[in-house]
Amino acid sequence: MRIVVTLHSLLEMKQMSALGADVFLVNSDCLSTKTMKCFSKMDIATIIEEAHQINKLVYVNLNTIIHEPDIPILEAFLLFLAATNIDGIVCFDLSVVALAEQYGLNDKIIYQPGTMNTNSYDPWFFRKLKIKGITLSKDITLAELIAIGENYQGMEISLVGHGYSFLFYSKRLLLKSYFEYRGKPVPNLSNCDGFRLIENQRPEEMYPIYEDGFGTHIFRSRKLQSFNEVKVMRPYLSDFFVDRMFIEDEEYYASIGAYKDETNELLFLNRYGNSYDSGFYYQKNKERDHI
Amino acid sequence: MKPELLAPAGDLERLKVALLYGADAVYIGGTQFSLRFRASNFTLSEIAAGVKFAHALGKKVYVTANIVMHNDDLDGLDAYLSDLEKMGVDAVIASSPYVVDRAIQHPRLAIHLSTQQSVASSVLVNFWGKMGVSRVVLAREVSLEEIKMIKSATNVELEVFIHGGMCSSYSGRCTLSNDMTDRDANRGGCAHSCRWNYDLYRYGELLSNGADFQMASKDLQTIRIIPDLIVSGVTALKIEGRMKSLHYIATVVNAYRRVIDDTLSHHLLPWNEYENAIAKAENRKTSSGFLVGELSYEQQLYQQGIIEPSQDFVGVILDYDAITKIATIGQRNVFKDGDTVELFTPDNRNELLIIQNLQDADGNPVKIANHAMQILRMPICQTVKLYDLLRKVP
Repeated sequence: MRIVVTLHSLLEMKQMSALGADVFLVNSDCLSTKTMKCFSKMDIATIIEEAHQINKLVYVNLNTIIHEPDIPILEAFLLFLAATNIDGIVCFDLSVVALAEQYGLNDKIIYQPGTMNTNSYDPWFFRKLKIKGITLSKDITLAELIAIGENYQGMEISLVGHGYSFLFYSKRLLLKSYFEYRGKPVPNLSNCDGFRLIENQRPEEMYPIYEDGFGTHIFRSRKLQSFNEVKVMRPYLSDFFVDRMFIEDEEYYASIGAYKDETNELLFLNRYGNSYDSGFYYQKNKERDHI
Repeated sequence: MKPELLAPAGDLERLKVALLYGADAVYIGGTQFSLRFRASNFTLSEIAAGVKFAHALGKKVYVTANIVMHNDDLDGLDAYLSDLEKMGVDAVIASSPYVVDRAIQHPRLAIHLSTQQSVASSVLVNFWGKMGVSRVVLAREVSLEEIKMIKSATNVELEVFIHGGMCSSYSGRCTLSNDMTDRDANRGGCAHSCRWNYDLYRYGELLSNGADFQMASKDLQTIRIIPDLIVSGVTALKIEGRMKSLHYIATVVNAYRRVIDDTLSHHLLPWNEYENAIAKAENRKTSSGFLVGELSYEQQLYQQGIIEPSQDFVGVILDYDAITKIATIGQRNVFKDGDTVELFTPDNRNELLIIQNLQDADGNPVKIANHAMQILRMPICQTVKLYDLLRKVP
């Protein structure tokens, strides 16, 4: 199981590598959203070269919904990637899967829609497309994850198991609209990680909300950690993503080491554990028949 | 090309009303595999009855099986799809690859891809076409220009939403409800957390005023865009709202029926004729959503609330004796002797009647019809039919 970490700077590579990172996830400056740091094509080419020199992998994150006007941008980006030695393309929209074969990149694709990949059939469906792998849905239980893992071990299965899970992705610019509605000047929203929502029935829960040019994202109020669960899921997982959004660098680095070493895990939990929970692992949602 | 007008139906009565008032097809949910759990109350025998009714009119029935499937949900799908195919259901609306792949085994059952997949590019439309899908319901986030671009690059049928509620999030990708209420938004349990009020903070500073931060959007209303949508070549125009009332369905379907037909016959009336017709039913505030222009705060719903209908729906005709000219009426809202009501019919007769000589089922005089669902009788000179509606004129 490879540990996938989000890279914010070339200068971090060696440190993260020493902590146990196996793969660097980089955001593009064209088709990546909910990110605090993006890289140009030239930067990405450099990162790939330097990562490979230290025997690490690089995945690029294309996590927007692809609209028709985005297609030429996506094609140009895939053309660029085809000329590199990129190790994986993490995508949110199946348009990327649909186009990747034309560029000989389908075996690099990891389909990571956040939701949707929720049952044991899904890996079979996507295996037909000869893609690299799929990331299982963030909102299913550990029992469901294990059942999917046990049932199928023919393609790569991954999990986003650490950090603020996103709950909501809207094309609407909700923060900008709100300030306009109130007749107030719109503050600089670029890379602003300080907005939170509180619903009056849940006053203890502060939901991060983030807006960029692709829309608005809302996240769980508590960070997810998977130290126990990953020990169970490890046989089935090819990649384990450690998400970085809204997390301070020091805490983020500590989390990487914590997944590699139980002593580090204990230290991490002692220091940061109160702000984490187990997400949906033990929270079986009620479908309609049970409401 | 004349697009199909596709309407929702939460039960058999609303299915019949939708078709009678102008829908070319209806979409319904069964008791399994469907979102909108409160509306998904068609048993197999009711689906069969709905199909029989629709096909007799030369119209179609689509059945939703559009939940995001978990392992617990997989059992029974094949048998269900076989039943739907045997009873002549025209298409199944799927979002999960599992449903798509299983439905392919039923060749008389067309497969429509649900908006839950948030398809917004021609590349993805064609991808699903190769997977066996005959129609794709586009994401509600696509613009009219994008629809035109997509249509020019695909032969797969396209369906677009033209009226009704809008998810604020891209469909299928939202788990607000799952997190906040343990109710699975993608399996029919959505608690509509996006329609709640929130306080907004920035680095701990309260910015909102009395929890007035909202993420909900106004409902979609596209009367003025219908001619452009027809020109775009989309196959189907879809109205949202399987949980909406019989009166809402009749009113909204009929208004869009008229604007489609009037566009194609080059006899469009002033827009407010159609918009006023829609306003006779209960509606939230509306906008044209993503279809035209850039989104702004004006498309957002910051002050909740329903716009009161301009006319109250008070009764539905259940029977009519052409010899005695006595109509049997099902009461839906309070009305009384002397009230003026509009007779709203599928063929838009829209005649005014005065309520008089109202009786209950036993022939006793009734001055005020204030018992919910009461069966009443009244002489009406004009010939009326089952599912003609009565609306009180203010």
